[in-house]
Amino acid sequence: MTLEQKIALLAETIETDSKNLISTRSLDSLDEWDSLALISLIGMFSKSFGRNISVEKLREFKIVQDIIDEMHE
Amino acid sequence: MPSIARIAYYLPQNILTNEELEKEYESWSANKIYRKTGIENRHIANEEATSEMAVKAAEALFNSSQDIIKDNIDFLLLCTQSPDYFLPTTACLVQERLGLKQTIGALDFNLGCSGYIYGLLLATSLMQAKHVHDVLLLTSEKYCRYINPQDKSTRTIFGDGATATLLSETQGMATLDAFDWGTDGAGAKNLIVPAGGDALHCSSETAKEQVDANGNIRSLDNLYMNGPEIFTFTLNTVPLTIERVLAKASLTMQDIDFFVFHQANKFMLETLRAKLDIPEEKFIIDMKDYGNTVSSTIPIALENTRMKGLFHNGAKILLAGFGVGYSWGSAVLTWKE
Repeated sequence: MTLEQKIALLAETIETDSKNLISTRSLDSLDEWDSLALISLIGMFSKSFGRNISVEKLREFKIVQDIIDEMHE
Repeated sequence: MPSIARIAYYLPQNILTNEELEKEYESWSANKIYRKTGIENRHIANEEATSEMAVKAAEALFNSSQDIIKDNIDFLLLCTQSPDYFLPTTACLVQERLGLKQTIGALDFNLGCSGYIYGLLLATSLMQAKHVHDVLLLTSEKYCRYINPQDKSTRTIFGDGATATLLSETQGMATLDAFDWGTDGAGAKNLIVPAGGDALHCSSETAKEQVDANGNIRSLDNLYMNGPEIFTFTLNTVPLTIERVLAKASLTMQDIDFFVFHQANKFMLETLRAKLDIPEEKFIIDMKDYGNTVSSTIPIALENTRMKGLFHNGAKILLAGFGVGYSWGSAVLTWKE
């Protein structure tokens, strides 16, 4: 999956515009970053990458790049 | 062989729609609520007691067939986490209101989303031990009494309702072939009403409302659900219980004709379906007009699918319930109609 594809998938998952997902952007600064976004991410990691990601790991994510780095099988 | 003879259910009249919720929750449109949960309507009990809903579900069961003879019932099991009283047992109140004979056993058991599977397991075990012939299994849940109206994480999902299942040792529409079960109390804190029991008595302190990081308002007297933790628990646990119950039934995933899971929310179910690689046509999703009715979701979905005529004679059906506790269970049935 290319970087563009990952950003598009992430944008679709948390229901935001791709333009908001600059790699250094703080997740807390995104309006969409709430518990529903976490649930959507858990689903995305399971469906698209076959991974069960822990909530501890999700809570470690601080910026957009942290999520992108984990988007692999 | 222990069998499910018949299922009926009862839903309270009062309905809470996404349109009504949209008016209360600024950032959530009716469309977004449906997209995220797969739920449009929930039935809310309000003043109706858990025992009243249980009685109405049982009466619907008795009225559904002339073949059901009340006096044949030897045991009443009632699954609830919202009993009428701490004591006496809700099942005892229900025995009297239903006019069941006094020589029956009646007990409540406190489980949530796994409760129906445990009820089937307990009933089956009582039959196999030759203690009883017919068992009435009731599920009745009223989470609305615990939910803070300003907590959209729970209010959008849960609905109230009750179901009644008659189990018989000799005849029925589905035999109960295999069970698996499991427990992990480490997850207790992730789906809990913190105050009201002996660990923390209700007080003016526990009634104080607080706003969480997502803008939801609740107190310690209210239901709290850590959605992300419950979701990861489900993704980790459900595939394992399915593997075990299939091994006990000497079956494979391909042998199963229908999967009827606890109807937690549509997003969770779709993720589980994808993870387990289950074809869409074998996977029952039935919560749009009821929401998550806790221990009642599986029997409601089973009965609705039966009424649609989807189950064929010999069909293998896999049930799985999972949630509060943590507690989980699964079962394999063979349809006989």
